[in-house]
Amino acid sequence: MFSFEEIQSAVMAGDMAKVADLTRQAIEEKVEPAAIINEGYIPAMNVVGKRFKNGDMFVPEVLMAARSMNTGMELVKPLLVEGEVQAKGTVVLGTVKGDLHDIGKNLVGMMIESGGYDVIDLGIDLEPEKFVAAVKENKPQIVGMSALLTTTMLAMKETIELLKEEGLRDGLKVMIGGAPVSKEFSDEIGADGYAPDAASATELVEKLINA
Amino acid sequence: MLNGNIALGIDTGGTYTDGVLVDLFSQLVITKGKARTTHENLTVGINNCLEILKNQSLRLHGELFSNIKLVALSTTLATNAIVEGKGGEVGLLLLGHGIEGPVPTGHVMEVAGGHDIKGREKQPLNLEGVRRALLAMKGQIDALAVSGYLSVRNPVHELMVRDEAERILNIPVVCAHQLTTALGFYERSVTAVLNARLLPTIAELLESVRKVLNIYGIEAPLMVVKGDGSLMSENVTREKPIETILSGPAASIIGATFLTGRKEAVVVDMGGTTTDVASLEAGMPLINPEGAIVGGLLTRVNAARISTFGLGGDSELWLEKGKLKIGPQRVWPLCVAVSSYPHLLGELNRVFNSDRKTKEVSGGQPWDCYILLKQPDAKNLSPVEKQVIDVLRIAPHNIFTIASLLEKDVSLLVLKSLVDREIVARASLTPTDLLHVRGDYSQWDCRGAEVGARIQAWRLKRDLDQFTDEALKAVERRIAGSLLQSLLNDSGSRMDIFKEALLKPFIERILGINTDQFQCMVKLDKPIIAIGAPVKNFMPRVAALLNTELIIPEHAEVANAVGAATGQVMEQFEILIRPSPEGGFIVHAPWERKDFMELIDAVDYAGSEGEKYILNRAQKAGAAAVNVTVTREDIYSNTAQKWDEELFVETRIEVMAVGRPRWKDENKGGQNYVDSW
Repeated sequence: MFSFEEIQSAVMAGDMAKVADLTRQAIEEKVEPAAIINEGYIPAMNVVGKRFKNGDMFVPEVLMAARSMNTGMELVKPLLVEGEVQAKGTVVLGTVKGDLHDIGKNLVGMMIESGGYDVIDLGIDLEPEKFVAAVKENKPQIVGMSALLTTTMLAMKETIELLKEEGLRDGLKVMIGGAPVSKEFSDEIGADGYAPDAASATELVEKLINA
Repeated sequence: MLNGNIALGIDTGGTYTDGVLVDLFSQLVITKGKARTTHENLTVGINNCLEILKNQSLRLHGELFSNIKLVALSTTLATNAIVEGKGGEVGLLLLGHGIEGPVPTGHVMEVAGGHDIKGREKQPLNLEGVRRALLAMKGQIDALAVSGYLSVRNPVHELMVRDEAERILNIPVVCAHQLTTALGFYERSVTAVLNARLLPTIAELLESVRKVLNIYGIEAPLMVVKGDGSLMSENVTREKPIETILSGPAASIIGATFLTGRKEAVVVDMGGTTTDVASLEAGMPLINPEGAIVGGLLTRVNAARISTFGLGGDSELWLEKGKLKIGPQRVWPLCVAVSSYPHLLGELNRVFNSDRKTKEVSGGQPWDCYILLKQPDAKNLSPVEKQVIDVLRIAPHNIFTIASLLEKDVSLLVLKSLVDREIVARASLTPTDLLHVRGDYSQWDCRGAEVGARIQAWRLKRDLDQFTDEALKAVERRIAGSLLQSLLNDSGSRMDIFKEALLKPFIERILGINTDQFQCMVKLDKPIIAIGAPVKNFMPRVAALLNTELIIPEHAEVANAVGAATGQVMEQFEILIRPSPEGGFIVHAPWERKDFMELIDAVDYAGSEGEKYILNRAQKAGAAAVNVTVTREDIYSNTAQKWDEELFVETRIEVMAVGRPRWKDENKGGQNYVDSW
């Protein structure tokens, strides 16, 4: 008999095989696909986020949890009726020009996605123009930028400036993150918010969307 | 007898053209005058105003006009021209980027070019395409606007196109980067087009003003007020007419500082329809960082940051669910309506003495009266509207009289659409009426005001004095609240103090609506300078609520013209120096983008060239005794704690020139002062 508790603990443990098995079982037992996500994966990822923030879990473990959830998602997604699970919003995400770091950015992406948002991950080493093009195409509520080097942090400022030049800045929220990024820097370059870690990034998304 | 140097200030406002003569030595207003503004031809009003000034000054002081060393004009002409869509035919040439959103011209072409955010060429300028585009527009346009993608980071493409256009078209060319250094390709393009469109309009105005001045033998330099309250010369105005938009309110702020000698203040300008609030810092109005909005178009023009509230002497006082509301609708005060049409008093008394006063009137109040303003086009009217017009054509009436003449139920008469189209005016109860009831005013018919107030008081179960007192207090609280809101906006907050539920208990106590358990007090750290007709009646208690000093200066009714006459010339811009990804530093100046290996060289260059550039600009703008200040600010930002590293973001070189306007018979320039860091 399928239980949400089991699938939750499998996600938290980052056990990909077990998550896949339990998801298949749930599908066979005609559990609502949306319920698998909303009552199985997402509460689990919320716990993961909290533990990570408190230092009870570490990056590799969080990544594994997120990946295991994605394995399950792959199985559930095709069964979702169009529009059944309405994304709460769209976030365009990427690592800025000159910066090749992507672990943190990927983690943020997965955490935000598990929070019920559509995430469009543009990748790494992105010119400001790439962000602008993605904003035009996807009309997101939020743009998230990551930089792991002090030398690439300024590319965030340039990206915000280019959004202004294009008239896209109004009505859009910009959030930034990455190890060297500080609140002061975020204010200086005119971003709407900064998150020190992946778990707070999801909270920040909630806050910015509801602002 | 005065024989010093005199400045003539003129303001062509929405209703009146005001003029003042100010003695430049004693800094006193010598004489003032008002004439009706003539919208079809502003110079008629200016001429009438000068006539008044001349006669008055002749009578009081003898011949003064020959001592006029300076003429300064503040005008709504540019704003009106934009709102009404007037002006020349303009071509817009876009470099390296298309434009969505509305542009105020039909001739728009785009060629390859433009730069990236670092000011590097995004793609080479397609000069062949530029020539083709120019030839295609030739003969169809009176002026050309050029707007390049990121031209504020590197203006070179716009400058190249300007040279080509001047050669091929021989018409005025406006480059967007010369009007603003702000980001926003769309807004810069709109600003350039509007500026180009205004060129003939402003040139015509300046010429006709000159003609009027010649009639009076005045040959002094002519200056025009900009939206930030500073002045520019006739020549610069011809090039940058867009800078004159919203100059009226800015001029009144400058006038307020002159008349009171205060440099830090909140300036409140209360009129019939609206109350404008602006902050004065170091003698200049705060600037709106987003740029001015005119005729629904967002521009990148520097203009004073003014918060406008729909609350004035003629704002409607109305009841909604038993609660008294103020504005934002503007109506005719009942006292005005009754003094023009005395028979309305009888109709209003009939409302008060019958059960009519108990009735709900949809879209209005039982004491509303309607007055026909113009003969409308019959085909745009509904059958009921036609009948109403037929009744009003004979005489204005109270809503119940209209209903009984048409034998209709009053709730079937919805006249809002006629009022919105300015076919009929509605007269209703206003703060102006209450001031008549209280005996502060007696300009109009107090009886009209009183009967309206009596009906309202009856409906609220108050006696007349009680109601008048409470309603006037409510108006004062609204003004005080609006003032706080404006200051809150200036501090960067977007909170709406009238709507934010969390603030309600505190705002209510600050404004004295609620005193339960505890009280709240705010204290403004600067005085309120109040101008406009009704301020002496409302502002003392507003200032008391905000615990600050109130100043109502003499000559406040011509503050705009005083502001024009006493304004200064001010030019400023910012140069950015940023680290380059290839090493070294990039200087982004309004005239060029330049690379340097060392920061110190970049800073030296920016400072010394910036100084020359701004001195030149200030002199061209008509300044004398120019004081140039160059300030350097290095922006560093902390990184996250564990990184313990400071990040160099950029160096900002702020270059500013301030001078007084050059007077007649004065050598160019005067003495200049340069302060560097």
